[in-house]
Amino acid sequence: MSSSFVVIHLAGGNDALNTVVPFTDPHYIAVRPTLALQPDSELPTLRRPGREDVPGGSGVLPINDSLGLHGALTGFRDLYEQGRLAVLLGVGYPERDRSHFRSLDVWHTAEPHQVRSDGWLGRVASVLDPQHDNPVLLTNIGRSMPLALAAPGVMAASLESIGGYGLLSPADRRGGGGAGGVAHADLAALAASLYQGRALPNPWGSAQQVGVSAIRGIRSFDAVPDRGETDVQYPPFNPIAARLEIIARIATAGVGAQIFHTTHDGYDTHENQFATQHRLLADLSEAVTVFLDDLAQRDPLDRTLILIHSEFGRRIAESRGGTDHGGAGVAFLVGNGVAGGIYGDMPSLRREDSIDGDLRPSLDLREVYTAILQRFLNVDAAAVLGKALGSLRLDRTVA
Amino acid sequence: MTQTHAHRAAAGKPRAELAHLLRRAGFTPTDAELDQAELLGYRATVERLLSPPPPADDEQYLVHRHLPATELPIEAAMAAPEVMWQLITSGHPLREKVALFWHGLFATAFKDGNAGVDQAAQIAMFRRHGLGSFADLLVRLSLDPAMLVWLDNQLSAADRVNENFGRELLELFSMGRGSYDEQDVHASALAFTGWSVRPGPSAFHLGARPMWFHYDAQRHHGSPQQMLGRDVANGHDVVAAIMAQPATARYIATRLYLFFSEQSPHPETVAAMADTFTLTGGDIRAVLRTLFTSRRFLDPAVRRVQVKSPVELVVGLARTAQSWSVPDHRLGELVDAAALMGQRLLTPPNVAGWASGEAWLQGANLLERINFAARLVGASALLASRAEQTGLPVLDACLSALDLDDVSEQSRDSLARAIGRLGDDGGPASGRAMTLAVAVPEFQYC
Repeated sequence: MSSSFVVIHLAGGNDALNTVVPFTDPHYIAVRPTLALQPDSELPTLRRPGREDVPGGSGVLPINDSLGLHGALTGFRDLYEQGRLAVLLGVGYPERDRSHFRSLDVWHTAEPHQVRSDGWLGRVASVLDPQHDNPVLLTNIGRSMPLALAAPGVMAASLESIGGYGLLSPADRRGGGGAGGVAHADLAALAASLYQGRALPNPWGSAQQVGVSAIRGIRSFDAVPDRGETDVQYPPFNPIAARLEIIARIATAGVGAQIFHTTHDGYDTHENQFATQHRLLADLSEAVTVFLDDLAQRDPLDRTLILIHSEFGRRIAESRGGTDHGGAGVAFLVGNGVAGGIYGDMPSLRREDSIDGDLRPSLDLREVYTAILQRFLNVDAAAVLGKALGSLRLDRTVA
Repeated sequence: MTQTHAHRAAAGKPRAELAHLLRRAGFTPTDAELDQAELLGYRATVERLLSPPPPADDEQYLVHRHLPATELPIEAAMAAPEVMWQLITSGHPLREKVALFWHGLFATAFKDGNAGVDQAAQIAMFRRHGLGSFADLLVRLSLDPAMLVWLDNQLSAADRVNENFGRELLELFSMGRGSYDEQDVHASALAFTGWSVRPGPSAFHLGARPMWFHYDAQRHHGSPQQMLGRDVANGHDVVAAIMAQPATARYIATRLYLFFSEQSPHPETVAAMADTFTLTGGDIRAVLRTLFTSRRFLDPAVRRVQVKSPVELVVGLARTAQSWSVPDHRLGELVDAAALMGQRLLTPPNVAGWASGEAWLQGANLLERINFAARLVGASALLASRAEQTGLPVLDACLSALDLDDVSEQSRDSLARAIGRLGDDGGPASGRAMTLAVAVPEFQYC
């Protein structure tokens, strides 16, 4: 049974107020003269070259009397109705930082007050695998390694395609030819003889130690089959779908990869937010739906958990057809084990309640992490976060 | 040439020491740099490194002409190619390396209102003054628009004090935690109230408008405060108070030692550097002279123990494996390559700067580093011809061309076996052999 944990980072700062919309709040309509969405407003048909258009529809998909999902999130609405989607309102950390980098670092390290060089998932890996035997327990799908996966001694894999994780010849690892025509077996022998049998004491792991782990990790992915037991088709030209497809293949291959991190880029909508966010959220909703279908087809009892978050929400008021960097955001937790519903409080949009025009957080991201750790990953939150925070219960109690 | 390379392959002690000096005081040395150092000898090479001319006033125009977005750059990403160009092509590597050190210590990144043009100006200031007096550098830093905006000082006023800059100046930039108290921080912050910025003139309609320093007397808190046992009324007084503290000499000596020598401070050498700092009133050039001529720095135990930062790794490869006559799009690619390994120029993760040491190798970053290096050296006609000119066997020729003469026996044996198995695909054997050679663990260190 697959019980992976997948983190999807919406990179750039997803506008929370147009993702989960307080459509009855008069302040919302007042501060969003061009961007405000309403249940009776119209989303235009989304033209997508090379693939099906997304038909237009209602601007907001209400989930209760005052809140609704962005009209593009039809898949999320269905998941919500099935009780598999938790909406986490006003998520952030004490105060807020408008820098992408610092704010993302807080999410990655779960430490709002000081700078840390290790990440919360890296610390999870140290708890689950204290001897660091599994070099692919943490796997990043993307180009650069997120801080969330870093911790002393922890190896994490990072790849953009399954055949693309390798030494010296990543692009054509499955094609037969290696670097300069060197056979893969010979490259592996070189790597092994260079890195194995040498060890230098160092908390972060010397080049030798990391090298040995990396070589074992590369070999792990050789066992991932090309498709496996599924006939689900992922949509083309949807970057987050492509990444989730890779995760589905790896997660169900039994190679030891359990915690995945990936990003969906493009949410830094200072301008032209209406069209951009429409396209991004349509891709996200479609991708997550297909991913869950795929996992269900491979294993009806799948317990995969997905956390979707951004480094911050955006400014309450719009400007220039977009929104600037802001404060609290919205996060989603999705999966068969999730007790669907709405958690946390919608932060006030009133200027006097805000932090200089930004949403004031009402739910600490460490409370969300605590719930994920204790209720889903069976990891002591204190070992990862210093102390457990809050009493959120986001899991479906097994009857 | 052949004779010089034979000499080098023999890895004579003086040449190995010079290579170590050049790696630390600059980047992976080219053969020409090593040959010149050998002619000068160790002490004269140290002096040459320590006394670069100031950057030429017109050097940035070449970059602006070829990459127009680098002129009055709006974002850090637009300013970074110019910094990369200087790192790669400079004939005075220590000037650039020291600028990189200050960029890490006085880590400044983008913030609302802080344009790439201001960050570029800050780096230019480090390049021009980075080897001079530390007091002078701290004053310039306190007047630097990118820094003032980054740490929120531009709005700091007597009735609304923002302590961010006043605090970091003590904690991260000069003395280190534990050598001052909260009263000192507050006094420092008050002294810097009114040290602000205003938009400078725009040169033309495209590009960012640079910020200028602006002293706002209305916002300045006038009356002197007690700080570190003295009265301070303005930023100049704060810098003077900082310079009088022994903690400053120790802190800066330690930071320089960690960056240029090894990851744990060697007490005797750091003490000597701190003494030099005190005796010379904070002359960075003199402090580095003490380090580079110390017994510890020449101890083989400190060679190849520093993990190259991504920028050092990328710059070293670009200097030795690529030809550069004019700035082109490859500069941006190199900036991105280092970013993928964890270090984006002009974008430190926070005010404390980048991590260092073995943390650079974490996880898949090691593979990223090896794979990037393999792509670059495998495609380098420059390195291939350099290796072939040595007249040495392929293995020795490659190691020599890659500044890896000193690899361990285990690495050498492993590589020899792998090279022995290389088939003949018609290409030059050295290119393929070099692709393999950058996988040795020693390549990660300088």
